[in-house]
This record gives sequence, structure tokens and C-alpha cells, in this order.
Amino acid sequence: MSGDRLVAASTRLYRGLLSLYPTSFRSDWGGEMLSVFRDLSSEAVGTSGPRGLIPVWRLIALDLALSLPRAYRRTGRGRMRKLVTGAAAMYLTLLVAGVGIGALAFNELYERPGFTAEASPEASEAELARAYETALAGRYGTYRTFARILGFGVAVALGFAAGLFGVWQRSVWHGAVVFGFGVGATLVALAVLPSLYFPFDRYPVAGAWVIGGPALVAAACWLLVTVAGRRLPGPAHLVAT
Amino acid sequence: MSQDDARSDVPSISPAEFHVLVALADEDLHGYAIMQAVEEDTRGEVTLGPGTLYGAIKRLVESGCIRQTDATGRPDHDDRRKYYTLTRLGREAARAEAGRLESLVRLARSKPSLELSAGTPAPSRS
Repeated sequence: MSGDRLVAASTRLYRGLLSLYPTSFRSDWGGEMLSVFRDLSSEAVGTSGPRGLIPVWRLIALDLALSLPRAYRRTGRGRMRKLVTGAAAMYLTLLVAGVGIGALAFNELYERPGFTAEASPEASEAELARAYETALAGRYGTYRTFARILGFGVAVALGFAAGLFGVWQRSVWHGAVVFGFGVGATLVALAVLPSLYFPFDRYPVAGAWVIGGPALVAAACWLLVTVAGRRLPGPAHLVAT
Repeated sequence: MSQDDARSDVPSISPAEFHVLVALADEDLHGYAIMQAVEEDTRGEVTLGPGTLYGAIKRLVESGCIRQTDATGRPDHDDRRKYYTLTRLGREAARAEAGRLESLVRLARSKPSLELSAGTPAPSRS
């Protein structure tokens, strides 16, 4: 790769890393920082060849480690911390409420229906089908509906929290961090707790929905709100002023 | 009253901000030139990365110690770059910080166990 192309590739990479800085800082100083980086890289490659980029990137790594926390500490004056705390609190509250309500509902409503062949080995196919219909009309159906609403609600809340964050920061990076945390926490919670609610081996569709549903819906919500949010004027303008 | 005079409090500054003020003491410079000047002034001991440099410039602009300036008359003027100049407050802040460091060095020199005589360069950290 020629020196110019190497500098161009290096500059592209640095431009990507600039998105780690707070929006207001980036919009005020990002252009100049990129220009300084380009000058630094060009001079390094011109003097020492491609190997000259090694000390440049060493400097950048150290610089990012030192300047990023400072930039966040000094930009927005705690707004980021407040928003992250708010989004995390909202998510955790809903998750805990959902799990708690689910546990109560389990005690109150759940009665294992006898429509599976394992539960009723003597029953015929027609009897099993009738039992299934009866179960759907009874507590099992109620619980299944409840579980779907719960999963959907948690996922929407999670996506919404991540989306709010994305709108505020107008940055995919930061939205992705909150979203990743939310989905991860949801999956861990649902992976640890399913035996409380569902015998998944018997109700695979419900199990798949509970595990996969939140992630899918949250991903859709997050994409919608974050991508749309990045194109709309948002609170980041207030931070920038 | 000028804008500089309006700010009576000399702000406290960080080491990086002090380096930027010292670099701008004699001439108006753009970001990359400030970075080079700091490296040259410290004989390569201090290199400010872009994030640290512009973090310092941001704070100095906000506190009124430096401001952006029009450098169209300069022979090496480059339209793409923004030049910065020291304000009166910036000079005061640099003087105050230099004074503070000077008294600290004087104090250190007064300690015989440190074996620092006047004019003896401190050992390099590297």
C-alpha cells in the first residue's frame, strides 16, 4: 500500500474513532482533530515510511484513553450519566416488575395442562387436542398471553430506552452500548428464570418467543428510533449550545 | 473595557493547557503547529495527542484564555486551519502558573536531600 493510501486509511479509522467522543465535542473540534491527525500521519509516513504510523497510533491509543473520560466528564455536565442512569433504571425496573409479576402469576394461574403425550400417555390424539383447546381457554392460555405481553413490553421498553439514548447522543456507538446491555441482561434473566414459568421442553414455541422475542423487538425498536433520531433535531443541539 | 478585561479571575489550568499557553506566547498558531511547538519546546518529552490538545484548547477558549484569530496576513496562512491567539487573561494565567511552578521548584531546591542545585536539570522520567 502506498504512503498516501495508508494515510487515507489511517485517517478513515481515526474518523471512526472520533465518534467515541461526545457529540458536542465532536461537532466543535472533530474536524480540526482529524486535520491534525492527517498532518501527523503524513509527516510520520513521509519521514519514516509506513512504520512511522506505529508511534502515531501508540500516541492515539494513549490519547483516547486519557482524553475520552475527560471529554465526557466536562461535556454535558453530567447529562450523559443522568440519562444512562435513567435508561438503566427504567429498564431494570420494568424487568424486575415483569419478573416479579410473572412469578406471582405463576403461583396464581399456572396449572400444568395435561395435553402433552408425556403428561397423559394414555390419551388419544383427539383427547390431547381437546385438552389443548381447554387449556388455551383456561389458565394456560391466560398465562401464555400474559407471557407474550410481558416479553413484548420488556422488549419495547428496552428498545425505547436505548432509542432515547440514541436520539440524545445521535450516536450509534452509545445507543449500541445501552442496547447491548439491555438485551444481554434480558437474555440472562430469561435464561436463568425460565424454569420458574415454563417447562420449555413442552412449550417450545412460547419458549422461543420469550427468549427471542425481546431481542428481535428491541432490535427493531432500537433501529427505528435511533436511526430516525439521528436524522431529527434532538437534545444534542441543546448540549452543543 | 475589552472582553479580556471583563474577566478578572485568572483560571487555574492543567499542565496540557499550560503547554498550549506557552506555545502561543510568541505567535499565533494552529492546532498542529501547537502540537509541534510543545514537542519541540519540551525536547520530545511531551507530545499532545489530538484529543488532549483540543480538550485543552476547548477549555482555554471557554475560559477566555485564548481565542480564534484571523491569520490571513501570515505568510504561512492556511485557509483550512484555525489559528489561536493568547488573550490578556491567558497571559495572566500562564504567568500565574509559571509563578506557581517556580515557587514549587524553589521549594524543592531548598531541600538538600533532593540534591537539586540551580541550573541542574531534573532527571528524565524515561
